[in-house]
Amino acid sequence: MDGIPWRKSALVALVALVACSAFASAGAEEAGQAQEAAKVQPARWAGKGRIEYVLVHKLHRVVGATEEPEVALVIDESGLKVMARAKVASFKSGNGNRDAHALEAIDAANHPLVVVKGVAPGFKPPATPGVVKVPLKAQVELKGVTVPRDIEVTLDYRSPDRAEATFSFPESLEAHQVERPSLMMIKVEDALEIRGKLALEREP
Amino acid sequence: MQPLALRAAACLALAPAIAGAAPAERDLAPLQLRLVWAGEPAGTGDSMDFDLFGDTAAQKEAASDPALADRIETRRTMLQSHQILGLSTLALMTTSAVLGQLNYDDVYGGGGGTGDYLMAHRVSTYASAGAFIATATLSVFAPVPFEKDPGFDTATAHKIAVIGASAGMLAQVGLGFATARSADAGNARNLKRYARIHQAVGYSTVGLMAIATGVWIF
Repeated sequence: MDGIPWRKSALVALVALVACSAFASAGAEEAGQAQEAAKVQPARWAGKGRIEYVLVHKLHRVVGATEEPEVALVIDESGLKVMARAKVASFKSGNGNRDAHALEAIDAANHPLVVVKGVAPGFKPPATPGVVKVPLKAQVELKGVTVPRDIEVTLDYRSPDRAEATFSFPESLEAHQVERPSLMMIKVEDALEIRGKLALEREP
Repeated sequence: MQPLALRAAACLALAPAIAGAAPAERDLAPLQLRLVWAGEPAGTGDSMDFDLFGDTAAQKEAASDPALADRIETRRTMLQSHQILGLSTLALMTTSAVLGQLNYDDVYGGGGGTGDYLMAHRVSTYASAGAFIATATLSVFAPVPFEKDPGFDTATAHKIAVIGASAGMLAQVGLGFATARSADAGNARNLKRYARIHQAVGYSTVGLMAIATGVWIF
């Protein structure tokens, strides 16, 4: 009589484990399918658009812009990598003399490009169109000096192959060892705003 | 990944409960569960050591131009000095205009003709002319490392105003000679007329110089 409940319990446990095993196995299959569906296919995106800087002086507010930036993104299992660059000489502020001075100030002869790189580890593109905010750990290279910067980019996914990126972040001239230009013996402010809007397309 | 992990964990947790009738001596080994968040795969770094455009170091090196950098440096030095001298010139010209007005009032405005301001006015005008020439020289001979976009801009307005101011200064030299001739000839009527023209041209020159300076604000 003593042995019977023990055997009964063992039998119940065995049945439960078998049931669980089947349950887990079915789950595994389902999860495998879901995982396959969620797996990020490596993709390269390219973009074009407009990038602006806003420079402030006590007597002035200057907006310079380029419409010739080069943008490349790679999205894969590890997340998102982005690199954007533009020739500093391609920025126009509506005043040729000022633009020439700007090129002098940022030593365009030796450092003709401004380059931004960023990563968003673990980033996965949304399954459906929509807006996502992507915090990038980034770095900005200007005048050959690289400065780390956290940049939040808003990605508006229009379709699986098209998206629009907008961003805005502050930058410091002196952090890049740029001697601030002066007007009427008054220097421009150190902080400038960088902002932009880019149209991104997934490359075939 | 997550559904599988959760289901397995649920089963393993439930098994001993279902088998609750088992005696104590049949204790199962303690379970240890570890949850892994799939949002950040292992091995993902935040290294920026990548180049999505595939440039080589040689390409990057070729993009720089040390000779151009030298010209830029020279231009910056010359134009910074130009800026300082330009503001000094404006200050000197304003002083000359004030002293000139005082001198005019003294000689022609019933001031008694003491000549108290004559030398001061003369010195300040010579200083203005010298500063003006030095300022212009720095600007004219500064290298131009970058092609400017054509079109009317602040610099164009500055140049027009400075050309006007230069014409005004040259006119003052001509008027100086004419006035001296009139003075030598004892022609008081002409002398006063030239003095008035000199006064008008002087104010115009200072005004143009102020415009040349002020346009940079806009």
